[in-house]
Amino acid sequence: MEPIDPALNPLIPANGQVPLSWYLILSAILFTVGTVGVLVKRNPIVIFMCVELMLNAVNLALIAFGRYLGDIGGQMIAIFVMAVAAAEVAVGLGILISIFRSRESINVDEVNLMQG
Amino acid sequence: MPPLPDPETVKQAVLPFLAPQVLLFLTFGFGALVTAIAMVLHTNPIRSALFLVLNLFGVAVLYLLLHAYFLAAVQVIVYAGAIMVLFLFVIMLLNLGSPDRTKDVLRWQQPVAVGGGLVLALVLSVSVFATQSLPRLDAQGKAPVRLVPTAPTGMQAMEAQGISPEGMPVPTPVPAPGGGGGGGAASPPPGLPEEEEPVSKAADLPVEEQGTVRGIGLNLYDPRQPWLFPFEATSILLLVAVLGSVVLSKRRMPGESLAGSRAAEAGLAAASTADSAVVPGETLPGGKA
Repeated sequence: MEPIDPALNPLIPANGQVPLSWYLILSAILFTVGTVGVLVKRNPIVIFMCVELMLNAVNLALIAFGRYLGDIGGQMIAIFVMAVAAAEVAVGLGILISIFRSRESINVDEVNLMQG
Repeated sequence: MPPLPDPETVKQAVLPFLAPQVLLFLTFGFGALVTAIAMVLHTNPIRSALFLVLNLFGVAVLYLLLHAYFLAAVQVIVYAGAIMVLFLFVIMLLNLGSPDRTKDVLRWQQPVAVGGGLVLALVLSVSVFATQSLPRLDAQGKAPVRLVPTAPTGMQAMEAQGISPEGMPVPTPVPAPGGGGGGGAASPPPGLPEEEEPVSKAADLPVEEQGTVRGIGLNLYDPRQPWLFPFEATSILLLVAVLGSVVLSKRRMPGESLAGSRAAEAGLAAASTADSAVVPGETLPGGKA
């Protein structure tokens, strides 16, 4: 196996700069942790927090791509993602409070009226 | 005993990892990772929320490393400040601070979820490893080429050429806007109509200033760029979200809405018959319609 030229290897930092692949891998791992949290947790508030974690991972990938491609669009889309996340949290927590009012519990396993 | 490796080669291998930006990334990236995992592993919702705040701070430092100063500030103020306070407030309001003691109905779901998560992380990482042509920054931190055509953007381009069935025009490498005055000599890429030279003030900003409040504002409100319409749509979205959350969490007055009280009674009946998993003695006064 030939040794990889460090100038071509996207995993080794060059020029004193962090390679783009590091940001992408960190973003991928954070997204995965958020996904596992959404699937494992039973408390809907913690599920919301895991969704926030996933949105943040996507924001990190967007901003990293924007920086490394010299395009401001990554940061622009990240701003809109943040606004949508804020709206989602406001509506979601309102729904949670109203569910809690009607059934005194918000365990996701018990909110099963639509179960087939 | 195996021979020690040549210290010169060791130095050559280690030296790239000791650059200040790389060290900062390693520190705060590792911190963000650890706090994210701790957030998922904790059963106490309040501790999960506090770990998420730490995670958001770590990611904000990474935004600073990427020259996204405005977004780092917004991350700390809006996410770690406003949204997390909202989470903690709802946790306190619904008395959910104690760990989850309800019985897990789907026991098999946890190992399946963890296994699926590992597969997802593996696939995503392999897709990053397999990409050979990721863009790199030079020693001054400038992006090498810009892969999108600079001349007409957004609605102007759409109006000029219509929505072509082939999709996007062919990406042509042109010098980066921060690359030092090279944009003037670049001829417009073939297939695009003749346009006057873009006199965007935003494009003239150096890379370090594109993420500041000035750079963000110049780009966001630039009519030559496609961000004005999403901005207005976001304002409507936020208005609808405010109205929706007010309507959803409003406490109904007695006798105000017959349909609402009937629905609440049905929900209470379903809750009392359906579950035996709720810990007794934790019902809250108030909150009923």
